[in-house]
Amino acid sequence: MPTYIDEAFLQRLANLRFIVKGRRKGRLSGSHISPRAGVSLEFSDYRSYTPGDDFRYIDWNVYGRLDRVLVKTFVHEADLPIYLLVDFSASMSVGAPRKAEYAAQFAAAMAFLGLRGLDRVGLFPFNTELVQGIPPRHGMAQMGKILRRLREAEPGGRTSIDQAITEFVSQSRESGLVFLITDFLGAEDYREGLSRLLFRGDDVTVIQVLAPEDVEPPMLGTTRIVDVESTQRITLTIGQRTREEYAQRFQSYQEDLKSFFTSRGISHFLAKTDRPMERFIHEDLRIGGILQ
Amino acid sequence: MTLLHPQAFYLALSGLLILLLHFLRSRERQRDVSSLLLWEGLHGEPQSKAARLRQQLDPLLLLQLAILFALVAALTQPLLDLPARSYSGIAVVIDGSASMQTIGENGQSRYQAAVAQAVDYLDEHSASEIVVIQHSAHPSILTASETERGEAQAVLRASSPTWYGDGEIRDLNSLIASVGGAGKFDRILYLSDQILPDLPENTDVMLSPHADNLAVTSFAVRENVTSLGVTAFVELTNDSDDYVDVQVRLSDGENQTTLQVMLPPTRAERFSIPFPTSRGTVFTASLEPSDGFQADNKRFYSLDRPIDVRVFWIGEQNRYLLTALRAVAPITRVKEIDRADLVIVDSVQAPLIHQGVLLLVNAGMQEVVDLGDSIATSAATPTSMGHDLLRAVSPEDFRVRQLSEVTFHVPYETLIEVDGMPLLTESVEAHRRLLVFTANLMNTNLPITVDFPILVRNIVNDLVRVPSVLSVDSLVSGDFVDLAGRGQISALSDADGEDIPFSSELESFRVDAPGVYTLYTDRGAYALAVNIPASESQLSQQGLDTRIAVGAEATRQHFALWPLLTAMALLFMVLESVLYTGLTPQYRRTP
Repeated sequence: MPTYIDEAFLQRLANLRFIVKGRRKGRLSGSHISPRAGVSLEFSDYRSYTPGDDFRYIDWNVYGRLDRVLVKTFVHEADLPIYLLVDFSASMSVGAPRKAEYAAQFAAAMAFLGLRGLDRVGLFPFNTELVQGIPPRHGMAQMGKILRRLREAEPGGRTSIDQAITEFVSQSRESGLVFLITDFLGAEDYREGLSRLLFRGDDVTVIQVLAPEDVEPPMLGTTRIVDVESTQRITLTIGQRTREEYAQRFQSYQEDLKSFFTSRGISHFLAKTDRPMERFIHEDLRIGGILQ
Repeated sequence: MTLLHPQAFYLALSGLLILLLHFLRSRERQRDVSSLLLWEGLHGEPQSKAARLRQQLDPLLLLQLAILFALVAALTQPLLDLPARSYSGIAVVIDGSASMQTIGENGQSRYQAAVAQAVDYLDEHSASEIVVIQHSAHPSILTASETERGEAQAVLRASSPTWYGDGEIRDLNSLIASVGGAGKFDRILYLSDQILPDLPENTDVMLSPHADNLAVTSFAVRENVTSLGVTAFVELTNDSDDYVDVQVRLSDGENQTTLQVMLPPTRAERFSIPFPTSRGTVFTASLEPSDGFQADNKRFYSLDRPIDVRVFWIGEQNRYLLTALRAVAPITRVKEIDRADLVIVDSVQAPLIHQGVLLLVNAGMQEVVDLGDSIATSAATPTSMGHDLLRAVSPEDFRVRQLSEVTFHVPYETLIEVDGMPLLTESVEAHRRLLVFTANLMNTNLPITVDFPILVRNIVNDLVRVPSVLSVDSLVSGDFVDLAGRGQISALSDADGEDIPFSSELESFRVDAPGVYTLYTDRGAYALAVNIPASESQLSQQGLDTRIAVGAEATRQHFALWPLLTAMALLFMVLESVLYTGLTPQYRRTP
């Protein structure tokens, strides 16, 4: 059972927090600015006094100058639901370490950052559909649940991102910060689901987890290639020319993905499992404007 | 490089099992991928034979085979010979005795093998001074003092063994002392086929391997006293672990006889072999089958005197004279004068005969003796009583009725005279000894006297059946033959029939090789049978071989390679494990 977060790793994540685009409508107080007026130290605006308002917020200086009773309003700091959609299909079992382990470690780190920032964090593992999701909650007890769930999750089954997102949207009505963690190698049915999230108002960040052999297959010679999800197989004699052709295809596929994400305003990060997780979080996500 | 357990190489055959398992596995590698999304539609590329071969050269297979062979090599316990230290002086003592001429199974003699060992030894042990001693019953120093390695090796290669017997330690010590003493040499290398007791402690001994040997270790011939011919006595030695069926062949040059016997293992047995048809004086006993040491498969023996008397008769055959001769020795009539021991001329004028022993009875010979008219006489009177030919003879009892006048053209000595005229004379020349009896036997009373056969016996034994001047029963190679007082030596030939340079001042000579030497004297030619010393064929002391060989090996430096090979095998195991499990997953055939 892998340990996804240890003490030293947590200390190095302690100074990070999420950057949220725009003001989120949170139900509860949190660390993110909400479009609702609320009680905080940050001044927002004035409005006329109405009976029932708290006397403490009457601005007496304005009353002295303008002879009008106005009440100060402050920025409402709302919490942010953070959804972690983690692909646990069979394709995530490839690599050493397995992509699923890398994805789980990343999800655990994001969960920690979210819960430490008083946000609600939910975990939604999926393959063709959601598998025993954890609704977003506050508190470190939620962290324990998430870690247990991550440990218990075993890669298996095929991938259907559209179907999983559709199910996710039906289960979770509130928009939030969505981390979609997958390899995008299972199928090409991701457009509809992502569009649905964007339509709902979610701030979507895609973490594409790939093993080195997904990028540069090491095989040479006659090889029986087996799809771990479909168990379909093809036999190829792989040489330098074939590897170059694969590299071109991979490059083209990635460009299509990027083009789609850019057009939708979706943040996209490529995480190779041979890259240390800490560097990925501290460098790639900070540079990409996800964390600060 | 030495392998203590070379039979462990058979374990390398298990490599076939690894190869079999390798080729029984799927020829194609199987590889799991996240998706066929990017693979579908790729055509791959044609696979050439070379590419297929490269694919089959699985690094894991090579490592597995390397592990196996490293372990097998370690089990053979190889020892690496390391150059030994250098010395200030090395004395190489190589056994040059006859047994070192034994041919081994590889066609190389023990001596040649010892020379090769000595050359290798000198390659491994450097020394500022090297002396080479050939040790035998007559040891010799083959190199000059302060010889360098290359020169010593050349001397060794050019040397050859002798036919002499084994040397003794005191002779060796004397020789070493003569070139500076044992303290001058850090090491003494002793190469032989048998151990020499009391060798110095700093001696490296290299013994030739033991080999089976069949030998005639003793051989003698004696005349039969009561019958014709001879009887041979042979000792046969079987130095092997098996019973051996052998045949002994006796030969006198003209006739031969054989004896078939079964020899028990590691035993020496003696046999007497009758040889009634023999009339020879030189005998050979040879053993069949022969073996690697052929010199002791054949031994020689020469009688100290001829057995029968070969007579060439000219003129009348007097039956009294013939009877008297037969009473002395077996008489063989020969038809060629060259083969005769004794030429008898009776009552005729013989042509000139230049050599040999001649008895003229009432006969003459051209240019030597002329026979004149017959003269009537009374009684004979002996005149040379002290002459050897007249020992035990009483000439005063002789009665001669008539004798002939003779005229000698050569010097002569009268042994018996009658009325002032010679009755029996002797004329001694370089190659001819002439006895002249001037009367017809039938005109004397000699045939009916007891003195007549005595006189004839004296003549035959003293002039014809002359005992060897060399009163030795047997000679071994290396013996010195003393010639002083042996009479007048005219020629000498060795075992191969080659003349030995000879001078009248020569007092002795050494017989170097086995065979039959011939000594030509004024009293005839005599055969000298020379054999190798019987000690060269004695049963070996096999128990000593191993002990000394181990002692010799201990002076060499060896480095055991099995720990290194085992470490290599472990390293290969780790590498194979890493290749398979972690760093390079592309080498796996299955995920």
